[in-house]
Amino acid sequence: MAQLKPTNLSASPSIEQFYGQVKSALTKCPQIDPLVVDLSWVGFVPPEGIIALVTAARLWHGATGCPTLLHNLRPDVHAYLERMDVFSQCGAWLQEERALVEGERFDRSRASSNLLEVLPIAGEEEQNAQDVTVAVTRARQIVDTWFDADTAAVGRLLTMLSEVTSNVVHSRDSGSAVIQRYRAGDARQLGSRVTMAVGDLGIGIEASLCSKPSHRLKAQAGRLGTGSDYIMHALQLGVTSRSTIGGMGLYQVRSLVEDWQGSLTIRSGGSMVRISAGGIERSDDLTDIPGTQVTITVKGSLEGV
Amino acid sequence: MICPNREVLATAIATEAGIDGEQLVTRPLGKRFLPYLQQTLSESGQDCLVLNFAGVHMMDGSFADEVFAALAAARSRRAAPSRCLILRQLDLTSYDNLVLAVTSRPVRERGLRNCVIPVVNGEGGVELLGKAEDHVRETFETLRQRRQLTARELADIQGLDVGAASTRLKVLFDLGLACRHEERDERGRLYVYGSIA
Repeated sequence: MAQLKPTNLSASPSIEQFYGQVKSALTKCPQIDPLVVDLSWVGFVPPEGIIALVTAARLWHGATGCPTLLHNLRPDVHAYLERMDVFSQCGAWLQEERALVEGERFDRSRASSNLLEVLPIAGEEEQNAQDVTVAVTRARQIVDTWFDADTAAVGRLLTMLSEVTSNVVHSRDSGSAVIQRYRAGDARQLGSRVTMAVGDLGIGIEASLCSKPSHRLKAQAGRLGTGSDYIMHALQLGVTSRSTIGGMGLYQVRSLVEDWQGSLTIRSGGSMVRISAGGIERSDDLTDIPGTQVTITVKGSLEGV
Repeated sequence: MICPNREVLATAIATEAGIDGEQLVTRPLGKRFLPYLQQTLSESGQDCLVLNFAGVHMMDGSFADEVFAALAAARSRRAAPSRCLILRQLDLTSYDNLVLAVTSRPVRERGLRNCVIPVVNGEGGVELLGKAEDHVRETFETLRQRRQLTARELADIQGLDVGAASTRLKVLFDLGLACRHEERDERGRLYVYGSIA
């Protein structure tokens, strides 16, 4: 049985390490067993960590037909993941070693104000539109208090949620979306951090764009070589894999994040682009994980945190 | 003459189209909405349709692009009927997303000389969102000040020959930025163009 013990799932390097361990386990272990993930060292799982767990579990399940089992969960982490509906939404691939009993669960009403639980996002266009509408409606009920009554900030966040979840249609797969607000640190002036994470296990940005002749021509001309080239290309206005006019969503998301001085991370295949106030970071030597995972972080208020 | 207008809620058209009117999001839902909007425009005849966004919590850029930018682009290409449409009571987010859609459309769809949607602004006036050639904006403003114009009157104001003035007013009409009706004078038939603002 394959067993992993990640040190944490809160930062990009540790998530990359986790992905590497999962891919390594897939090649080394008999592919008929569940993957056991010991989370005894993990004290907090942010949205991008949840998406990483779901992505890894779906990858394992796709290769082996077996689920991923989360063991040695700390009580608060266990309650948090249960509250985020991780096990109810993703139970086919990701399972807890035991179910929580009444008294161990978080009070949903109190916890609701700071998180949007895992929402499924379909890849089929019509269902995707319905799922995006549900996600935006559900998010609106929660995020109004996250930005000190700044309705423009609420609108920007919901716009980004709408555009990023809509993009799951290009994956030819299905995805999941998660949003949470939490303290950025101990100092009040740091405010809160609002993080949105959306991930799928589909064909990825490069394959999606190459389905269109104009992008294949660019690739042939040497203007698109690496995975991060494709990600940067996808962020440009007018770039789309659609046969009709489009190519506004990711361009707008990038603009909104930059104006907000937040961060935008897009991971696809073995490549990643991270855009923040510090500039643009690109990587093309990551563990190859199918699909696209998008993480957006912006600053919020501390009201109710 | 200010164009007679008829006000319709965007949420009502959304309901007809089977869409949640509070969240106008995604391209597929925009594609579903557009034919119902076009039907409503057709039913408005010569009246200007004022589309009221009261009750719409948010319209995202993708929806705005599939409906309003697409409609504006089609009018520029003379591929859509010339019916006046003005939007009002957009919240700030919906307004910003609409601006992005119509201003970026000419970048994403080559050859568009105009891509413009009229919107009632905070002061109650009508602003033209998007790309409009200089003569379109000038003629729109002249028509707004005079409320109605014939080609001959515009020619006198702007120092043009009647043919050029007639073309400018016709362009305004084709873009849905003016209404018109036909009259007869001693010279024969002529169009009288009315302001939508």
